[in-house]
Amino acid sequence: MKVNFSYDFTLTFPESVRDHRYCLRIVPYENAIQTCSNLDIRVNTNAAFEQGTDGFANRFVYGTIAKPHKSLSAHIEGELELLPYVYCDEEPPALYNAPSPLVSFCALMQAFLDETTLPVSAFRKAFMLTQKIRDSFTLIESTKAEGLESFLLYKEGLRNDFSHLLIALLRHVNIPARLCHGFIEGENKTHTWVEAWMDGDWRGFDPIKGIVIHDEPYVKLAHGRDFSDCAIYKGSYIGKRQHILKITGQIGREEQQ
Amino acid sequence: MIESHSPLYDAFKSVLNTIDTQRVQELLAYMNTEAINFNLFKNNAFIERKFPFDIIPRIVSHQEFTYLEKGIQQRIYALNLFLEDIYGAQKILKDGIIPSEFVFASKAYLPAFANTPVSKNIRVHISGIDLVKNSVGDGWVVLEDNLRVPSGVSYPLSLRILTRKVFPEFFEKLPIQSVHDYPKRLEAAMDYVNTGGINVILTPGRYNSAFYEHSYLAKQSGTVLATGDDLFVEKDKVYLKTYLGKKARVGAIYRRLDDDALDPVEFNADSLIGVPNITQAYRAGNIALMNSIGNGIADDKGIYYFVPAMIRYYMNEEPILQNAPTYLAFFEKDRNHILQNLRTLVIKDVAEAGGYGVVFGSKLSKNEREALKDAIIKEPRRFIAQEVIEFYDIECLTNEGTLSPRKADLRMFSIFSDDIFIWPCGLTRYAMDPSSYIVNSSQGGGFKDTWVLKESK
Repeated sequence: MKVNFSYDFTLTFPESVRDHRYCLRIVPYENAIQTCSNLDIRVNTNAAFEQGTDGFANRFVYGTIAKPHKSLSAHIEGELELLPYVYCDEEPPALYNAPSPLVSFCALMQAFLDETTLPVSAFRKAFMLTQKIRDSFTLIESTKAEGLESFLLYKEGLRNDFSHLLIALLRHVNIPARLCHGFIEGENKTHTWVEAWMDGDWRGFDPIKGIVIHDEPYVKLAHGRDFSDCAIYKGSYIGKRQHILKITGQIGREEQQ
Repeated sequence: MIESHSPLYDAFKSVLNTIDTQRVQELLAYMNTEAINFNLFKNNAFIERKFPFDIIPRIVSHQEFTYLEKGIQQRIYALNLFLEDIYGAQKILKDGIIPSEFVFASKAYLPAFANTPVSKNIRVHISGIDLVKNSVGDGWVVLEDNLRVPSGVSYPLSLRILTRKVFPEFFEKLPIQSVHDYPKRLEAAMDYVNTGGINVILTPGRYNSAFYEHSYLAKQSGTVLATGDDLFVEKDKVYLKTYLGKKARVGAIYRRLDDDALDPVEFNADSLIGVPNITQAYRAGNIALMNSIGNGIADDKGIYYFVPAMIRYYMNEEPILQNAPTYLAFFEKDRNHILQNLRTLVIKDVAEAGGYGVVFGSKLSKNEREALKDAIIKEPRRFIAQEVIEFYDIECLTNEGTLSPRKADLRMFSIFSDDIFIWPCGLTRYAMDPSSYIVNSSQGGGFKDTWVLKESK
């Protein structure tokens, strides 16, 4: 499937900041099921920037805005060729089966697991947990109580919480799982979902929608052990530490020719 | 048993006996003017403390040094290959020599730096290997590899220079190897990996426990001493702000701060002492960092167990230096051994460093022992246990002029450039009180110089 996409990332500061070093993981990932073309990236319309790749093969842009400023904006657009969501890559799956900075198993999760009997096959396990998470929790846009413990306690949380919980449960039943950060059709902001390793392939599961990803356009920007590996923006600046990241844009399917 | 009772010390002691205690006071006064400090940050308070030292050195024979030299070279070579492998193809995991969860579950493994090549394939530029000499069987045993930011070179180095001034007779009568070329070797190693530009020593600043050493090494090697504020990244390269308001390209940085503090964009955003986006210049191959990012996985207390296996795997050689007998709670057989023999073992928490998280089973109360057992069963990967090694004491000269034995270890330093240089000296650390086994400077211990003797003709 061919899609085009166009996204804007705007970081605003209530008071002006300077000597701003940023790193933005906003460039679509390249792998066996996602290839990119006609990419156009702009930072602050025409500021200079560099490009790099991290150890997960996530692509990023980085640079400096030295003068005082109250916003940093990045625009990215291009075309993507997407294939059905089953693939493998060079990374060791075992890397995604160990506890990670934001995801470790806890007693509340055991209680959650104890509510059901899991099927035998890895795929069915993953699908059942994906649906169970969707059915048990409510998505909210902001929260004061962060982390998986409060997610389990209050039964509501952010996108990341849904994915982190699924990852923790999958790892607990010995299915390597990683977090993906990117865009989906019809949503004007970033989305997170989970890739789980089974029978020699990575497959996509979306615990917010409760689905196995197959033909739906899911555009991956970055993946990692958990969200700490794939934040859109990381930066350092001189000024009051307070910023708002706003992401808008869309994915459009291109007409089949 | 007391190391300094061996005949190796006879020549030293006969000179020592001729020395007027007045001159020992003189040496102490000199050392005070050098401001040899070991700074501590404890309970949110900054403590600037003199690093206690003792004038009786550890003496190492030429033959013994040659043995240690070969053993450490072999070990460093293997550890460097391990880091190249673990941040690359990961053959050692695929071949099942090390269980992969040992690497992947460790906080010290940084997957965001996988497949990042380093200049000349060197990652362990500077190392400090901690050894003790076992009084049972007389063999040297490696206790710990320090491959991140090992400190300690400047202490014996400056003590040596002063001792030479105040007590020249030792150096006339004993064939002691000279040590003053360490800073020049360091400079050569920086030149060797330099990617174009000047060499810089990056210090966290004067509140760091080893600031004395950073400034000392910079002065002696003719390298620029810089803090994070003095460096900046422009495009994909690193520059130094010069006093004239210009910029100078930097090609190699001997960084004396941890990964976590190195880059507030990539790592801890609260770090005020790092250089923002320096890791991007590193990923682009435009700066050599000494030591490389992510080395912590190779000196992880859990990985230590596998170093002999690494030597066999990568080099097809038998290890020259032995590890202390170690048990990994991760393996069921070892775990049962640990739980049954807790009283006779030293338990180490792999997440801690600097003598913290080290517990002697024999010193625990019954309740504490049970609590530790529970912790081991709950999180086996976190704990290793070692047999208590009865290592040698070396005497210290007390204020009253008498000799008092203390447990002493040895940290030996290596510099990796076109070959692996083992410094013919070392930091000998001794325990604060006579009954203690813990020699870490952050735990109140002191230090001695280490005299390596030349080949007798």
